[in-house]
Amino acid sequence: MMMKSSHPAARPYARGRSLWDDARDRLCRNRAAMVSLLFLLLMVVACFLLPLCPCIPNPNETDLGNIAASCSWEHPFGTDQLGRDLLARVLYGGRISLLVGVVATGVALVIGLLYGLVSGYVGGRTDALMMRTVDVLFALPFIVLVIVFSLSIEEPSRRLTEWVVQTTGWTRETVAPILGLVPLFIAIGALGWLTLARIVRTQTMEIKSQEYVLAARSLGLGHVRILLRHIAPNLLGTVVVYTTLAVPGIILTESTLSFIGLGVKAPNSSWGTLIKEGADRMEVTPELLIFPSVFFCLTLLALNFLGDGLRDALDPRSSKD
Amino acid sequence: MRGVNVEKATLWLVCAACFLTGCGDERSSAQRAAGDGVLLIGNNQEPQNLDPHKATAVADGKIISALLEGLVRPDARVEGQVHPGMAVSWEHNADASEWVFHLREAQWSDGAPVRAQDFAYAYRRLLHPQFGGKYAEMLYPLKNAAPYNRGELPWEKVGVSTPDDRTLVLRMEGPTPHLLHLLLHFTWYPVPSHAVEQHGGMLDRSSAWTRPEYWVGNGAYVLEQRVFNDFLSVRPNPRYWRAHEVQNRGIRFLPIVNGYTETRMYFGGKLHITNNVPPEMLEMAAHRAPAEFCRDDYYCTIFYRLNTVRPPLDDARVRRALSLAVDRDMLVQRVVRGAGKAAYAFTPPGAGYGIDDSAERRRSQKARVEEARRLLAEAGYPGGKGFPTLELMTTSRDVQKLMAETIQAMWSEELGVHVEIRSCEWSAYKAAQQNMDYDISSSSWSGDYLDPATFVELWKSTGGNNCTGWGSPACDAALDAAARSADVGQRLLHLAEAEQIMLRESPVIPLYWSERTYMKSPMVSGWYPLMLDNHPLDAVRLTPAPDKP
Amino acid sequence: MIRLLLRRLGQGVLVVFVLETITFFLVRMLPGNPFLGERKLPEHIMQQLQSLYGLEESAWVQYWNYWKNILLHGDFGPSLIREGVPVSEMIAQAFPVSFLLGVLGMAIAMAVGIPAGMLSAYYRNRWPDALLMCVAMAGICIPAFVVAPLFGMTLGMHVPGLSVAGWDDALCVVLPALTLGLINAAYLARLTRGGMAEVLSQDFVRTAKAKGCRPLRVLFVHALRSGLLPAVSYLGPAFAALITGSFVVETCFQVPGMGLHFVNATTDRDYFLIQGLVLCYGVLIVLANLCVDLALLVLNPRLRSQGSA
Repeated sequence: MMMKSSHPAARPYARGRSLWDDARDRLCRNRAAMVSLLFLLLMVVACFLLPLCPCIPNPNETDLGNIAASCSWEHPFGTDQLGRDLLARVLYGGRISLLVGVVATGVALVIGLLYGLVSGYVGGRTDALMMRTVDVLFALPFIVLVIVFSLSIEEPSRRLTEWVVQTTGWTRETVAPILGLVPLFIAIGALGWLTLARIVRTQTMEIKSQEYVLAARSLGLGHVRILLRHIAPNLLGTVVVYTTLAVPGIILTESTLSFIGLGVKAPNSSWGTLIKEGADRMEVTPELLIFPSVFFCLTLLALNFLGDGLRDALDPRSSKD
Repeated sequence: MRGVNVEKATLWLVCAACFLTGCGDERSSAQRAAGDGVLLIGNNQEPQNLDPHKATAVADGKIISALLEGLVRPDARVEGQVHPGMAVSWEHNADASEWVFHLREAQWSDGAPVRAQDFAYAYRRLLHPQFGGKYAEMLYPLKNAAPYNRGELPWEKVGVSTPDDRTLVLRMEGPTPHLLHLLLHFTWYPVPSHAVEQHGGMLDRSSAWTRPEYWVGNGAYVLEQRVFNDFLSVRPNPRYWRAHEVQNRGIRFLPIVNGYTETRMYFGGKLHITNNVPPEMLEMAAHRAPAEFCRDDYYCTIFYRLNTVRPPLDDARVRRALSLAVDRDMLVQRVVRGAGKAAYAFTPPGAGYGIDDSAERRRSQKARVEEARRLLAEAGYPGGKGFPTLELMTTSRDVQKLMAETIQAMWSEELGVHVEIRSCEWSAYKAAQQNMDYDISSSSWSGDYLDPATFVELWKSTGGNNCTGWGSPACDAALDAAARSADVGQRLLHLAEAEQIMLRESPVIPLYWSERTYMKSPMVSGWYPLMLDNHPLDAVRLTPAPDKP
Repeated sequence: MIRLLLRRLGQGVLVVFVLETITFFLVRMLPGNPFLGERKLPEHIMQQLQSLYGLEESAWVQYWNYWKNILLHGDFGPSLIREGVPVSEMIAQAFPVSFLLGVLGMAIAMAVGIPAGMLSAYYRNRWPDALLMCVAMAGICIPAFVVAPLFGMTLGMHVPGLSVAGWDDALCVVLPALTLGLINAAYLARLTRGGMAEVLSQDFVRTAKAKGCRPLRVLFVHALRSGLLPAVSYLGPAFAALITGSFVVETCFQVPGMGLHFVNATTDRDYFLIQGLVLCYGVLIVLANLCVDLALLVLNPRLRSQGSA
């Protein structure tokens, strides 16, 4: 993102140091953010690379003779209600959930940010029209939309899977879980941006009325330039905060949607489905709830601190405090 | 600081309220209700309709049975035993195709007499071609009922007549020795014709006669109040002919869909009898309150339908192989947690009927898997090579999903056959199943009345609930023979023959016969295990537990 | 101001109309129909039922009839599952329950969330902030279907007067409201902290501090107004969503509210009930967003001049 002239009061800096360097230094000095970053990296490695190691069993291999076993050397987190290794399921589930969290949130973020920016900046009739459209979409029953959507996407997505299987020669079992998520990304992304759009619009209106934007406009700057250089960077804080709020919701929505055949298909798991299954059995086998929940919460907590750190680092004002 | 004050105030309020109620009545809802003689019973879901001609759900049936009484009424202890209800006595001709019922002098709750015409009116209403009765098929054993329902014959041709106010004659399509069992189902109950006429007439589907303020019935209870998704309450009907024998002072039906919530509510003292303890909670419930935990046989089969029209499932060998490879004992023990019996035949044993499956039960799973592999190889898929990926359709219910995952793993491990699980939302599932838009469908079937016909007739090639595309002339012939035989033993033999034919061809994979698992408070007496779960609630008595010292 | 209000209300009517229209056609695209039972209905009975409720007509004719009945007779149609019960009656029974729960939940959320967020912003990047934000993130990450049974089993079982679930005495409202409230409090705290942190680093706040204002005064008088902006724009839709019920909380605590109807009507394809519920929800969303926009005008005087320009 372009930050160089984001603030009218930017002071002259020592030669050879860009704002990016400053930001990086500030980030590195923020202990919470660094620990979080490290943790997130570890989590990504654990979820995407660790399962390749032979010591992690197949997460879908059932062992009905050994159901809901407690922790042991063989199964560090114990086994689930069908005797599947919980650690492996949590790690594989992390793949799906992290993917959903990043991709679907990304889609929602881009749409919501652009929409809110335009709506808030242009104002007047356009704003009214755009915001009323958001109202309509917001009030539409989510589940109805999603069922209709999943039906219309069923055939194309099946064809996509066939095509990938044929062209790459990978087995269906490896391809299907990931490709099956594409409709989900679109569904969640297409609906998850509404609140963000509203929040961004409010902020944009607020910033638009500030003196430096008026000044920029009176200097004859174009709208696009004002939007991108003067308004968008100042939305950063809100957007970061809202994103950290939205990710958990989006990851959990995935588990709700897997019940209508969208999202991860059984026997594959995601953190959302694992937590949901665990919640039903919390009196009997609390481990099934606790382990996935801990992974989920820690990851999002780390994301939260990293987001805050990033925002502080990129906001030149905060350096003066 | 305003916010903080509000918070504090709320906290104080909550504390004060807790304190006050703490000082007051310490008894749980269940104890208080038992003191008042009111039974609190979990009833699975919000009833759809209390009109016996519009109702279809099990939850509706339970309430209707408390509000209306048919010609006969069920026994509280023995499933299938009937007592005189609205009919004092009855007789039938030699082949049980014509029945005469003599009615007692009974009253509707508004004081009007119950007449034979009320029964005839009820049957005509349910069967009326313009009414759209969803369960009209239940009355098809009546002579000419089916053509009348389709609008091909006038009502006069249907086998129902009322020589006088207190005599009802039913002529059947063929010999019907099991008619008394059918009569226990709510579709055979009378309706108060005068009340129905008063509120819109026979054909008005939006009739208001079932609203609490207008309700008229002849059962042990009358409708008191209904709040959607909250409760439905009934109180004793003073004009009921056995009013003095009703053991309690009312019932509250609570529509609790979620079995986890329901079980937790039970342990929180909010219910006397629950509807269902989900499998995961069975051990906990049985351990925590062994005397209160109930596990009853249930007239219900859990099975997989196979779409026999689509290859490779059009090959009986493939279907047999899939069926053989399922380790039912494991499934019942581990997934259902013992709340069922492994099924190697379709119809649950009961009513003097039972397919002899002892050979199959004795056989080891290893031998079964070997045969499955051989059959699959014969069909052209040795070791599952070349077998296409099939879709296994389930509803979003947790148990069904777990079962599907288990069986998916079994097939993959033993046969090398891969299936994909497709989870559907309820209406989409029903639509797909009824349009045969599936490969394998996770299904269940529970009997409407205590007779194997309610299960075996599913497999008539023309049957609407077959939904597998399978049919065989031999099976149809055996079913016809059963329908023609007046001798009870002979009839059951024909039915068994039909089922054997079906099982050999295996258009379905029977998995297990389920059991009902629920909680029953020690305050309750007069409730016994019944296979159809048709408990006469007027026999249930409540004894409030002594107050804790 | 009045003109603005009227204009917005006019737009609101349009929004609700468009919403109903889209919903009408969407629900008819769903597979299945309201009369599908566990057992297959004979074809002639299915047709009979469809024609009784006018469902065999083309979608446009049905659409026309739907509005005609509402505008001429004030009739929102019958429930197709609970035949004979008007949709309006079902909603009238459930709405007060959800409304009570929603208002209480929102009160708890605001009472806990906004002060927590301010406190957190005030102690920004110090330990009280970290602690509060950890708790808030936990509140956001732990879904209602975990919190609700946990509350039921701990508080509900052991605090006298409270119950695990059910809706049979006055105190039954406490736990569901608490669940809804605390989850939303977490969101509010996070948003408030973000908004406040942004404002606290601005020049006018620094000026105020430099002039010797007491920190609390700075927080409440100078920063609060614009610091609440993100939280306020979140509040509108959240409030509308809360008073139209939450399915999870309602199933876990057995509360007879609108959320249950919403989900059941959808899975049962109870067309008219879905329409009625969406109508109700749409009206609330429009009103809530209107309130939010008015609140924003109050909080930020500069927008006012903008609006009139």
